[in-house]
Amino acid sequence: MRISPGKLALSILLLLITGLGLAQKDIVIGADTNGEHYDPQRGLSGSAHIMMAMFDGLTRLDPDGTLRPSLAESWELVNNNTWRFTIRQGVKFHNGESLDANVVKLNIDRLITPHQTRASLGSTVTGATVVDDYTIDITTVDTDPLLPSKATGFLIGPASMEQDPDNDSTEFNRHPIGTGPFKFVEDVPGEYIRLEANPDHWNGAPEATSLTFRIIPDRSVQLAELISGGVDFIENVTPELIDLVNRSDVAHVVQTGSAISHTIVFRQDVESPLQDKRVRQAINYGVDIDTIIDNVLSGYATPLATVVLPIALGYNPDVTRYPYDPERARELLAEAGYPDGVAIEFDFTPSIGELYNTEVLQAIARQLEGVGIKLHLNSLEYGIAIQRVYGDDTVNPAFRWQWKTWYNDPDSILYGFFSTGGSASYVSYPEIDDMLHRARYNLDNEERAQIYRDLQVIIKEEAIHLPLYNLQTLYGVSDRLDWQPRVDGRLYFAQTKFRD
Amino acid sequence: MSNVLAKLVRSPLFIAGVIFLAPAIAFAIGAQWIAPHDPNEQVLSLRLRPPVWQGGDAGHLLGTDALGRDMLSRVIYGARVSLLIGVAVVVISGLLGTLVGVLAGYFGGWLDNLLMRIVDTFLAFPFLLLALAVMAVLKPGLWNLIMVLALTSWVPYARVARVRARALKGTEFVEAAQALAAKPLAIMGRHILPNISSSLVVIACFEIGAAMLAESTLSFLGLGISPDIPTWGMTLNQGRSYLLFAWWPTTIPGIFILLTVFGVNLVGDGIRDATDPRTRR
Repeated sequence: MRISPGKLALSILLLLITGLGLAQKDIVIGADTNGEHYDPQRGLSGSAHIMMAMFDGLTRLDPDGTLRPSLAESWELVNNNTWRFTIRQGVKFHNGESLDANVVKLNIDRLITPHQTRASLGSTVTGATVVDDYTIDITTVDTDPLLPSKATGFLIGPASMEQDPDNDSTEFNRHPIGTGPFKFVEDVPGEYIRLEANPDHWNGAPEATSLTFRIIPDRSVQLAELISGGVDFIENVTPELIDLVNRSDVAHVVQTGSAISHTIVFRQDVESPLQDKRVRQAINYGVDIDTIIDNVLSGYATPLATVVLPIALGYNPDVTRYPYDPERARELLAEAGYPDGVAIEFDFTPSIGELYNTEVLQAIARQLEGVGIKLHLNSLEYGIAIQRVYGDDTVNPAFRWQWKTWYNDPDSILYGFFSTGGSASYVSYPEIDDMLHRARYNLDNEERAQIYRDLQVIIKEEAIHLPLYNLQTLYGVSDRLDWQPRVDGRLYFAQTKFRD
Repeated sequence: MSNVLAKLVRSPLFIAGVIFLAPAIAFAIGAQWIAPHDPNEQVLSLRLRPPVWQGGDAGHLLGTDALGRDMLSRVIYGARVSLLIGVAVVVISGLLGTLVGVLAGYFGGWLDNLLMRIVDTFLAFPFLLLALAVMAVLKPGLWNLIMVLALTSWVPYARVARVRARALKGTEFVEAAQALAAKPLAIMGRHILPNISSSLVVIACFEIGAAMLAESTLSFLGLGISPDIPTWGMTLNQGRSYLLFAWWPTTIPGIFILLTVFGVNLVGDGIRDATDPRTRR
């Protein structure tokens, strides 16, 4: 039998491709953007998934939220404001540098430098003292029961990152070095970021040989790539397309609650009808969130009564949303002195990529119009919105915002939204400030939970926000991966197994 | 002038262009009488209904969008704002660009240098960056959006007008006018402008479509106008998230943008043929 050279070449090529496919355990992730920073004290949420693969924290969370050792083997409270961490021995950075207590101190000092990007994470930390080569004391303002949980975010970089000229991490970003399960290979802006497995990781080498974050800004394209096998993992599947993915024989959808609370914030520090509690309550009575969730979001969200999530410590199931009652809303408005209705300037950010964000707000605006409350929707570019909310406080009297609950604890979201001077807070209630302070510096979890339960009653009664919902996250996962979601919504691929 | 009109009426390009533009213009003028629904009326239970020929409701000929708003009514009302943006941006940027270009080209020397360096500066900024910077200072709104788009799109007119004005400056008829002691403004207005207008009309026609699409980009980023005002660009952009399972929220406004831009280009060709002195027989 004669075999034409063309056919021969083709079969060799096919063999090569299938052979490589078996040997290669590359996980390709469809990502919206490149990260903006890979410095462990500077990278923000956009780079989070990539940084989680390259760096380890002092501690880490299991997928179910249990706190576990990581670079720190153990920790204990040695006095009221000092936590002592024992550092794991024999850990090497990707470039061969060794990890010890001095390196950890350098990272903590860097984190608490004023104006450091991720400084809020270390807001209770006052300093770090090296006890011996593998022991370090971290001191806090007062007793901080959450410090070991916060330490999941204390990512550790090598001492050499300080040698960066100008100390702006430009050089370090070009070749980030950590201790994590994956090592940096290359970053082609707008194309992809490639990491390879770290065979010497202290927790064992990951099964995946490499991770590739492919930059695909358009969500529809991400989905098309998933069902054609071009990528193995995407983060946001549109509810209407779940069936399409599940029927593709290539991938499936994994659904889990996100840890993000969506809410509408009312400013009480500027002149507006929203300074009147009755107007804020009228707005709460005037929105039928269930109908919006069922229709616009196809049911893939859970309504919230306050910004506190059901998974959080001290969630109070007895605090429920204001019922939808347009009649009561009109009465309250009239009582407040606005029988002919009010107009409120409202800011939002259409480009943040949350599911049907603009549509939800338009539906809310329409419902409120029905009870005499006119929301003027002003769209803001994301960077400008950040500046106006966190920076110069020039945001309009009502605006849409969101906050992520870390390690199942409501401390940061409640401080952020309701404490005097909190980063997204435009209210001042001395009573709330006092309760938040008592809960923050308290080691008894049951006492803390009780304070948080009481707080939710006040937050609802004062109608400080119009709480919205928390979305279900719909991950699209290739059938060749055995991947489980985490309660904190972070993405780790170090433990991901391949199905045979 | 009547000569030009007569030529236009006889020009098949111009007539075809008017036919393509007619629906958009009719929508823009008569939206409140033509539209079957309020464009902002939401019926959440009727969301994403397909057009009537794909099994939708007779009450919504072109289907509904993600909030159950009538697509046909949104397209009809959208014509108003989209055309206003397209035309206003082109008029403002065209006037500004032509003025700068003709002055620079005719006078030359230091004025030319100064104006062209300003043009270079504008060229050096990416469109979005400039728009971001301006919109960060101004409040988002329809007229501010028009000003931003005009400010970022006058440069092509200036460059073309300058080159053509320079070339014309050396021609015999301009030299003759100068010899007859005509004032510079009169020469620019009577001898130079008519000879370069055809190139500018061509640019303007392209820019109308570009402005309609740029509006949608800026509105998507939150720099444009309120989502309560329907425009074609915005409707198209909002429908993008549904493209894989509902084609109509993007495709229908897209078709209207296409037809309108095509119509404007044909009209532009017709006007060029009728007015360009070089094509006079």
